[in-house]
Amino acid sequence: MIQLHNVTVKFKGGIVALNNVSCTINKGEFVFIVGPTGSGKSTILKLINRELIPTQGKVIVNGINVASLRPSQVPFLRRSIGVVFQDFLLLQDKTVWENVAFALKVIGAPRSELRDAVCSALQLVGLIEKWDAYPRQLSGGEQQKVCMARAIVNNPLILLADEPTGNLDPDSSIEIASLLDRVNQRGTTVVVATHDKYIVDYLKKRVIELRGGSIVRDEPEGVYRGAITVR
Amino acid sequence: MSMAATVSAALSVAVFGLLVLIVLYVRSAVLRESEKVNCMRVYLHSGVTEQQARELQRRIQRWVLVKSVKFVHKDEGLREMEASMGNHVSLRSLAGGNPLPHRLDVVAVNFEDAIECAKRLERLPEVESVVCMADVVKQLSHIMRLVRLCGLALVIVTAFATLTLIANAIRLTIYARREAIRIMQLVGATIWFIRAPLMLEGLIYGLVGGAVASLMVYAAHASLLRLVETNKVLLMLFHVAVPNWYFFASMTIVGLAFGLLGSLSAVHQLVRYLS
Repeated sequence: MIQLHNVTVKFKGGIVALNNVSCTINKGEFVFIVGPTGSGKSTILKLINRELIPTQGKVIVNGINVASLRPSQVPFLRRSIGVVFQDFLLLQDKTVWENVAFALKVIGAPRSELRDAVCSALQLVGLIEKWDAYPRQLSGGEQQKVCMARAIVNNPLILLADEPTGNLDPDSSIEIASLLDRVNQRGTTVVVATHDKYIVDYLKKRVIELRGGSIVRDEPEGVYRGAITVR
Repeated sequence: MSMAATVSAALSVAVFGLLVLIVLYVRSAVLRESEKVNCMRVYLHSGVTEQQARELQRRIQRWVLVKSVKFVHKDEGLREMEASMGNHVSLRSLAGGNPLPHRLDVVAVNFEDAIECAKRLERLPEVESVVCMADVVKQLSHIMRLVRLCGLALVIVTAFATLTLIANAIRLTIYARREAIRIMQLVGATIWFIRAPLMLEGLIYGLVGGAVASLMVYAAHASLLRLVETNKVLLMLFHVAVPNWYFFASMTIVGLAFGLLGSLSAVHQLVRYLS
């Protein structure tokens, strides 16, 4: 599903975000990408979502080399990828329903499908009763659930979450982690970049650890801090 | 913000329209005066008969530069001269006959052609002399050229200002909607889906601004018309050109064009960013 082949990402000023990274994430897997700030976690997510292009190497998503996509083709890649952010990115002047439906409206989904899809997504995250609330009326955890609903409403193949629990308390973090697991169980490949020890240790999924732009650990059913294997 | 952009577009297009109108007014006034100076008196040699003079009249009438040619018999010319002297003097008896030759009064198509026309007339063998107000004609030509150049320069400056204002309004809209645009980008909206509403917004600013500007300029023109018509002095000096409805419709289209170009400029940068 997702393959990184000898990927290097360098920014202006000589900053190396990723250094010759290779890994494969299979369909339906749940992967945590952990590491300190600046280790390249978010960079990997941006490569998958084609927000960045590798300086060297290849990023293959669902059989497509993302760097070779024309700008007009990128939106169609992103329709198969849901994204959740630490800072929620909700539209404050729209209700929960409208925020989730927005993801379907912009891709031209027919009205007939929209209602059912939004209902289904809100039910999954447990917010159907708050469909008409505005983001300012929700807690941090609820807002993140709305983001997740928006990310999964069009049944993406991949769900990327960049520090989804960064602004949440531990209880809310566990709730979000459970939701991510539920999404994964429906068949969606989930990749979470985080340095939240609680959710990594709670779910015990595959853990890829980055340091200084390189993979230093890749464990199935890992924990946040494990033995570092030097590659 | 949208109100500010619309008002800016309206003011800019109104200035543009007023400038065009002023150029039209000046041109109209100059042309009105020029009708007096694009007329020439062509005196023929005294040996030229009336038949020859009328034949010459027909030849000159066919010239592209010439609007009209009138044959003035020497006797009629004499009567005009005596009338201009108050009919107190009989020039015929003074001169022992009619000293004047036959004459052709030639009117050029416009004052800019009058000088060229005069030069060509002077070269004709039947013609003894040509009287035209060449200096006045030259000055009028110079004024018209100056008015056109200044008008063009001002129009270019206001057009640039309008485009910049509309582009900035769109950029502000993009900035205000940056979160929504970011989300659209991430969930897979196409570039055109993101771009189209912004371009439509620019078009609307331009269209409404152009329509408002048309009304403003029409009101200004109507006021000036009323002022000139009720003031005898101004009536003598001015001939207010009356633009037809095409002019006002075209101002709306100009506004629309400004809106389109302004929004294209702003959205182009967004497209590069999204790519």
